[in-house]
Amino acid sequence: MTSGVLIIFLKDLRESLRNRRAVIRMFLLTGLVVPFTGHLLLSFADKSREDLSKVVLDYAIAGEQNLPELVKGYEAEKGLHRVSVPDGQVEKAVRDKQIRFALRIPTDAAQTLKSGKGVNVEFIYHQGDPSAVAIKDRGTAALQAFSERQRNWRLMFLGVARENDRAILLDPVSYVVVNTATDRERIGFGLGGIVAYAFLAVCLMGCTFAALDLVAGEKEKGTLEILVIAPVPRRQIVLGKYLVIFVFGLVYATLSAISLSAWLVYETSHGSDIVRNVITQITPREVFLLWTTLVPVTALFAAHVLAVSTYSRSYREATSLISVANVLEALLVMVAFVPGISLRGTWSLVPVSNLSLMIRELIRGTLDNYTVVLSIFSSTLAVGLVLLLFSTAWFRREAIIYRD
Amino acid sequence: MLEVKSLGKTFPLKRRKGKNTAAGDPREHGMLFHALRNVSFNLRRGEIVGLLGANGAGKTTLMRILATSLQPTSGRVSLLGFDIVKDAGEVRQRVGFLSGGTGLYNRLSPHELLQFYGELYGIPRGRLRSRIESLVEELGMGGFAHRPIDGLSAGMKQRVSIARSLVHSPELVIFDEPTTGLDVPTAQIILNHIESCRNEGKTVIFSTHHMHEIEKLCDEVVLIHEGVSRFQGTVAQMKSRANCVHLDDAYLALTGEGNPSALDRVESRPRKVGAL
Repeated sequence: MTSGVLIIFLKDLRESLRNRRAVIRMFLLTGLVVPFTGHLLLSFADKSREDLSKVVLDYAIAGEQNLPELVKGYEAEKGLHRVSVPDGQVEKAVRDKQIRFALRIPTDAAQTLKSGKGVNVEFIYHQGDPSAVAIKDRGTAALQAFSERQRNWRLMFLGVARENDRAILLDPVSYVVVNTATDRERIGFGLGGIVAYAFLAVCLMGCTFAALDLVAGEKEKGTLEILVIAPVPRRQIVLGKYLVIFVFGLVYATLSAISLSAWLVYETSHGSDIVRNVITQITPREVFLLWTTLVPVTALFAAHVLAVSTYSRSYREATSLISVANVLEALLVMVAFVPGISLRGTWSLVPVSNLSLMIRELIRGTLDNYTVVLSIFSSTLAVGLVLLLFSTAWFRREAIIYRD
Repeated sequence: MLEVKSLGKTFPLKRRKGKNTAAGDPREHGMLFHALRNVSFNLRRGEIVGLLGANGAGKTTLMRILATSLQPTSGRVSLLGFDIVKDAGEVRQRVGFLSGGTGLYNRLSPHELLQFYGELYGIPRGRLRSRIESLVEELGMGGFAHRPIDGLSAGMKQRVSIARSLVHSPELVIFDEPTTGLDVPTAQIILNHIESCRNEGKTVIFSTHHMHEIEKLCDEVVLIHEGVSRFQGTVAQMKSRANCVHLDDAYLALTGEGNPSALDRVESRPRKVGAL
């Protein structure tokens, strides 16, 4: 049995490695795209943060004559630029992004304050703006400072002169936030999801490229017709091809792991303190465990794309069918981004999703139940085996070999 | 050596919506297409047999069944006493098949391709090396045996395909239109090789639309028309049966293909799954 599998495996591997385009694509996708995209995303995030603090925000004040002191406070604020907008047009100007925020001061504001009552100043901004939170923070800073000054005067008037007494009076019960999550657990949730998605997507791509050429491509070229009349059992042909697809997927995954590791090492010297802190906590044992998760998932992906490629009548049909199937795989992988879903219970048995969640937990450093690893690996391999048996059964059908 | 008895092959029909298929095609029955019906013939060792028939007559289906890539729906085929279905493994060791569309691995060299198939057929390494060398020499492949197949001409590729079908020294060789689309010198090399197969005691079945090839090479002719075997005998017997001087006239007379209404029927046949 081994000889037929080995002969087909070696031939297909040799042929696939001679496909220059496929090899270049493999190194480009795994070696450059993953770390480059990651680096770009981080740089972009840093730049956005920087840019937001430097941007001058245009704003307007309706009813400025009603509280001149507050207006002075806004004029003294750096990074704000007041523009003139008619009272009735303020909301529209904010919505149309002519200005980032506006204040509307009521007519009798100064009189009301003098009488010791409270004043409601409208702060108008667009919550749909991606920087809405930052705009609100910067836009209300002068308002809060003005309000605090007013409060202090009133407290002084009431005889509460010391700052400490004022604090006790205003906040009789204060609280201090104590976070039990480490930086790794906190950041690891998002980072783990991204790593899981990147690894599994690249792994699936590697399997797909190989499977398209080795089965649907052979059907189209007419080489499969000749191969099936060789005195080799069909299951050996299927297994030989499966192994090449598996190896390709694993090579893609391993190269991605290497390039991702290299990028993470780079980030430890160039990234922010938190990212550096998280990365340096990941142990070599966890990296190895991370890589081992890719073995069963590659086995599953290889069986899945082989089944689809076997069923398809041409390269083109295989491409479109695999694309549809890959959307399902992507949805299963994206479970790792959903808060509240964990490896407990049913999810540990859902193929692909369980591995995605496992990778996330590994990156977070919260994978403590190693018996669940066994159930994940066995359920994944079981599904892979079923798909492989499907492919073998289909390979025996002449309507599948001659679907033209 | 080869015994074909009441062979039948049926495919499920794949009808096209809104298009009427030819009325009265005797091979259609409901959603089934009877590609071959009750085909019987016998071949002796060392014979070259020409398979004649129009496009879609059932020649390729017959050859695929003989090569074991398709299974018969009815009837029985035995090669050297081995049943083509029950003893498929034994039959495969003894059959070489050249398909219509040259199926080659373009990123391998002819030498590597022959090595691959030789290993699949379980030929010991030493014997395989000498077998490849002799095929390379016989088919004039010395100049391109180590070049990637992708860069070879159609004639070179066809020679590689023939070498591939012969690498395991089969006793029955099946060639599906081996000279189609080839220039005269290349076609000649291939025809010479088919003739040399007879000298080696091999039985050759080849399909062709070139009547001169049949007249030049074949000991016997099997004529398939609309899935039925219409004639088996020598070229002379075929001419005599149709009472014609030329073989192509005899072919037209025996099949009725010269009749335009019959031709229309052939061209408007519905598509069927798994057959040409």
